[in-house]
Amino acid sequence: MSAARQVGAIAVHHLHRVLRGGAPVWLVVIPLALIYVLGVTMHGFFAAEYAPPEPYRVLVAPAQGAQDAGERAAAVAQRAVTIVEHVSHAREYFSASLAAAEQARRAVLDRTADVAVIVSDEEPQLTIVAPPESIAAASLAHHLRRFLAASGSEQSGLEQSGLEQSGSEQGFPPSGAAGREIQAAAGTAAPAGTAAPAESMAAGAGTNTPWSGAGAFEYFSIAITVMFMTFAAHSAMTYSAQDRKTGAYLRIRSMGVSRGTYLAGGVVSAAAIGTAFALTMAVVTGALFRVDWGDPVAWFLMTVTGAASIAALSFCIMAVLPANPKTVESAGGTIYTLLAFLGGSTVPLNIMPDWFARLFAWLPNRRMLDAFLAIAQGASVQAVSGDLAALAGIAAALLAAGWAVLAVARKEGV
Amino acid sequence: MSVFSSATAPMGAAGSRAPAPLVAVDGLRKRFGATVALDGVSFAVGPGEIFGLLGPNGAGKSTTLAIMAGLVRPDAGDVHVGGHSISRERQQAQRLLGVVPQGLAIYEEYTAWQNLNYFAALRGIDKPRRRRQIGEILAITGLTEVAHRKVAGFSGGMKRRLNIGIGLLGDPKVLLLDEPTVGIDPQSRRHILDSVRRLAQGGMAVVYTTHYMEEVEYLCSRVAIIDRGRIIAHGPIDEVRALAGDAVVLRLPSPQGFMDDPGRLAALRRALPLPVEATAGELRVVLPEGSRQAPEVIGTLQRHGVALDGMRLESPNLETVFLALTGKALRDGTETGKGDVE
Ligand SMILES: Nc1ncnc2c1ncn2[C@@H]1O[C@H](COP(=O)(O)OP(=O)(O)OP(=O)(O)O)[C@@H](O)[C@H]1O
Ligand SMILES: [Mg+2]
Repeated sequence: MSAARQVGAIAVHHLHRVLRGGAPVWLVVIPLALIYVLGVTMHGFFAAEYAPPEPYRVLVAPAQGAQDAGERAAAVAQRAVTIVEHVSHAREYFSASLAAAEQARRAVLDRTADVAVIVSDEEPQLTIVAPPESIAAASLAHHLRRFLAASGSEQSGLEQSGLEQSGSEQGFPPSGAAGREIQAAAGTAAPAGTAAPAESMAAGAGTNTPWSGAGAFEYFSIAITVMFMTFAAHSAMTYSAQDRKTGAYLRIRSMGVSRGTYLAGGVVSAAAIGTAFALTMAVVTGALFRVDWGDPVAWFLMTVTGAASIAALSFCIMAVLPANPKTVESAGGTIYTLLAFLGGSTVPLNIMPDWFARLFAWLPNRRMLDAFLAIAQGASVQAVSGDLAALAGIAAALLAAGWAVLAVARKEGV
Repeated sequence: MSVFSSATAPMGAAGSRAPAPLVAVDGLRKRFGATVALDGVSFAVGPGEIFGLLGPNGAGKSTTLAIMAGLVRPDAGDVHVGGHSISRERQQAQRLLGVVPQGLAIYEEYTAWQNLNYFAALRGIDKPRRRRQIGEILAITGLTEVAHRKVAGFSGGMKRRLNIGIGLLGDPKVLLLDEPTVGIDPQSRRHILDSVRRLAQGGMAVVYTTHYMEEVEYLCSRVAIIDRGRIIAHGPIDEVRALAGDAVVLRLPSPQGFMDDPGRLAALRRALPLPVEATAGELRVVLPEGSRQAPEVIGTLQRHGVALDGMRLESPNLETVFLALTGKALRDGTETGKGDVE
């Protein structure tokens, strides 16, 4: 039998054991309950979730130059209308209406409107006009950016649109950070980084972070999924330890299965159960909490690579511990619960100090969280390619380390 | 009758003269840290033969089988299976081997059929052949009716039989059985012994380790008695049995008030310059020169206040040989007569 088929048989067998071990319940019901509870209770800590006592008044206007007659002007006006409709529908706390550009600017200065969005036709872009530090503008910026990202592929007119906020727009006294310009190209790179300054005003936390733009349900759907991906992967690896204890491992080896083949089967099963779990959660949280996980290709690559890195970590944990499933299981539980905390899965990063977020940014589960958040907010494969490479590197390093540990420990065996 | 003498020396040279043994074990040595597990173990087994490896706990039986199965690397020596060296051509040698570990290497949460199917897949048995073989094995092990029941609900004997059945996957030429009857009911044990016999009749070479000498006497044509990593007697059963010479064993079941008093036992040992073994509620004394030593021994026992009810003299058997050669029993008191426990 080819080694590849043996790997497959072993992986399927481990998976089967995980699924029969009650995993469908603890792996779906518990995380969903956690997401729900955290999503509801932590609501207030997320900028994107913040709801004002009164709806923000938003005026959307075609840029001045587009007022003239002609096809382009009509297109710009149409775009403005689309945005108005979107803004009015998307969140109850925006009330949007269409206005002329000059009128909209004036309204913001007069404080009869909170924000003005100017839809220009030149290099298609949106300009948000608002007082500096405007929470309404931050929140709207976040919201529009996602709208642009989502509609980017269909509406070519908006595809390259930038989103710009200028605190020093006419008449507003330049404050310390006035004039900060932010650019976010719809549907392309790093949406998180770009709109961050705006949102950070609302969130009151660090800048340029993937989590600053997320809502509570989005954040926890991703964070809890990452956390339970680690548990899922580890549960598969626990079965490798059990095989070692019962002698099933030696029996398998006596049947001509090489050490590497057996270990590969264990790692593949761990990565597969992590991936299957993430897929389930993406579908279920999408349906229950309306969480949009973003570009499916980027999501899939991140899921598989992330699951592989976790599987490799579990493999390492198993390698350094005695072949006792109980020990391996409880060690994994402890380690992954700690990682979940350090990696922002249990306590959201936007309420943790900056140094904390920065200190643990290298953890694989934290990288997964950041990358999934970025993808959810519109990042493409390219934008997260750094994270993908880093996680793949972590996986390779951990596999090599685990293998080395086993090689040293197995002087006796063949 | 056999090319093997009953000498205690390694049989490497003699083994090579035998008509192509299926398995040849040559000069195995193995240390685990300070423990010498094997100290020059050699024997050979031909097709259709059941070879017994008899020894007490820690004698090195499992280590020998693990090396034979290619799971542990020996410090010295080698094993050839069907002419393939287990150290240099492990894959080829393993293809000819069926291994039944001492522990229950089965998945309790699965059915018997699922267990067999998984291991068959790993062994590379293709689907059509797998179905047929699993059916045959279920029949051999008497598990056909419970094939689709979860192993967790099986009795100890049924689990043992499944453990053996998995070792039969892939039509092995050589079957290594490591204490396959530990802790099971007499009926299951009988079933297992008879199945092993039939397998050997079909041409399989069987290596059977145990510390039950009755099993060896029932099953095996040849036996090696192993103690502390060394083969202390080796050859056809009759010849090994004869090693005891005139020796007989005087057995005293449960002498009242004597067994639980280590002081009295020690005093008796000092008084009797013969092997005295006290296990499982029984006192045994080896009389190397036969029953003519009995009066003197009985006198000593009486002087030490041992009640003689139920005393009997036993003629030589493998256990006597073991007692005579090592001065101790094959089994610890804790091991005997236990029920359905692993
Ligand atoms: N992996 C190991 N590490 C250290 N010592 C070992 C190892 N395997 C076996 N030993 C030691 O080697 C000796 C022989 O052990 P082995 O398991 O081969 O005995 P056995 O005859 O099978 O005994 P039993 O009847 O209890 O199964 C024992 O002293 C045992 O403690
Ligand atoms: Mg043993």
